[in-house]
Amino acid sequence: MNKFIWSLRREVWESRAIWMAPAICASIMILSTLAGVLKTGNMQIDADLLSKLSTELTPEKARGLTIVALISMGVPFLVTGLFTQFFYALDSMYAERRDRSVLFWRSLPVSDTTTVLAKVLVAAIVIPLAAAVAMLGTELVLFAIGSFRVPAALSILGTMWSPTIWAGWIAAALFLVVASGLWFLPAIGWYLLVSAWAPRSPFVFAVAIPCAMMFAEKIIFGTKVIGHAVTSLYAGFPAHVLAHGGHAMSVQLDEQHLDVPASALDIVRPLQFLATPELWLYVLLGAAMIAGAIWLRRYRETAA
Amino acid sequence: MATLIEAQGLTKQYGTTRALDGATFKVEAGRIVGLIGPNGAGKTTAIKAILGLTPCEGSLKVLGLDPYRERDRLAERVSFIADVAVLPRWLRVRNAIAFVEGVHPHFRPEKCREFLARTNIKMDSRVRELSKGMITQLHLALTMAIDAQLLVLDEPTLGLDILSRKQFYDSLLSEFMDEQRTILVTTHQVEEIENILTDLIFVDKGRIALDLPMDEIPVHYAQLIAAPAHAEAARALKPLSERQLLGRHVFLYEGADQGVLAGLGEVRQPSIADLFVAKMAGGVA
Repeated sequence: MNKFIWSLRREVWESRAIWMAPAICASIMILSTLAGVLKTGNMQIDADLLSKLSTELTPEKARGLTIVALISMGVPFLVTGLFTQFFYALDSMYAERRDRSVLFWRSLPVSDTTTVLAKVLVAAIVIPLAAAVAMLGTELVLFAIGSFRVPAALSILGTMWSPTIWAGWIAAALFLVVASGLWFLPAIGWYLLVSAWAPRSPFVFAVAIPCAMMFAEKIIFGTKVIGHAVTSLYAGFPAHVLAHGGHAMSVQLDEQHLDVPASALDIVRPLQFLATPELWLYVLLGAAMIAGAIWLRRYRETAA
Repeated sequence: MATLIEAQGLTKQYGTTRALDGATFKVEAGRIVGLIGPNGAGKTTAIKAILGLTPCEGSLKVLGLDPYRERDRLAERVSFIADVAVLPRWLRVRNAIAFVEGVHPHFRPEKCREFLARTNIKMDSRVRELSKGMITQLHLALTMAIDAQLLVLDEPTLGLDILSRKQFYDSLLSEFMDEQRTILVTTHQVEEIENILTDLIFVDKGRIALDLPMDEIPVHYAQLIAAPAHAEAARALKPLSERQLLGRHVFLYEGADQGVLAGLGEVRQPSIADLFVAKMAGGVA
């Protein structure tokens, strides 16, 4: 276990992008908001709209609006996390072969399984977790900036700092971290497998091989099974992990009937997600490719 | 004396070429063994097999373990320095020590720090900021602070200048070597390790061409520096090799009567390099 913790540390030392990427994403969002505030000065809401807002924006809608704001601010961090995961995992086993440092690491009594599983945990959990922490921090700062700009009369001000909403959202974010780690395991496994195998440019191979397979499939069978599989992996995550496939997330001010979650925790459906057959298929597929990556690192001839 | 490495009929095929072709040898505890051979002779393959980095035919036991199947256990008792280039460049000295301490049960960090304190290496430096010589020192410091029974060095001083090379072997002898420890080293710079070796193994085309303790070399091999007048007589004694040096003839003999040779000129103990050339060239050069 100790060796595993040290292997995790080693990954964090080596790949600064794990925390740099979400930090940069956070800085961009905060700085651009600040720049916007400085440029426009205080938000001017005309009296008509203000009165409309104060009557129409019921506490229920305000809560929904807050939750939707929290979720939509998370999207750039999800994208950042997926990109970081892509670059980190694809480089993680190729870099050590390229500079031959794999000979140093393998001269130490750390098994290949331990090393590769540490890389899996970083890609699946540590990177999304870093993105989630950066997201929550950014949301706090942006809400703080926003608080100064929202007229005090509006009920939304109360929901923006509601501890229940925040607690629910933090819990939901932690669930999303774990859920995304499981869901994207086939992608992580694929990156690691290519990283362990590719003779050069793992990034090209990781993209070119699926593209070539799709192309070949189209030519030979005239079908698009692989393409759909790839699409459903990425599109499927929000569809399965969020309540109503994420459709409850648009809040219309004028709409009478609102299907807004009462708490941020309601936007995720852990049990429904865990009961998704695709999830377990993906986990299995990912595990198989991770096993392949371990096997390659263990038994492949390293140039010595 | 305990046998650390026991290889019998070690064979390794890469496609159509045989990197190892029935190599049989032993390494006893407390020895410093030089594994010498031309490029492509199978040295590195042998080392990889010993470290469990490649599978092989034949039987191989290192510290009583099957290195390929039990590599994880073996790694706790065997240290390995491939060459100067394998420390990851992003690694900080401080973190390197912390990592090895964290994962290695037999690592003594204070010994490593003590050694580094005598160098110009700073704890906060990254490997990429160090010179080649310093990287080697760091690698050596990390490796020597491990209480390993066997240390394997594969071209450890490749690309280093002569000062760093000398420093490397000096530190190795004074800091690492004792009766409990065994070193297996391969290198192209034979002259430099000549004086520290206790045993010599020549590998050629995947086979063991010579396997002798250093102190037995003069018993079996002799170098004769003969005047031209004695050249014919010397040639008749079937030397392994002959070459001309400043008008004199230099012959190398295996198993020759040294009393007879003394009558033909000056008899010396051949250097490893001379012996190597004579054995590898396969006869008169």
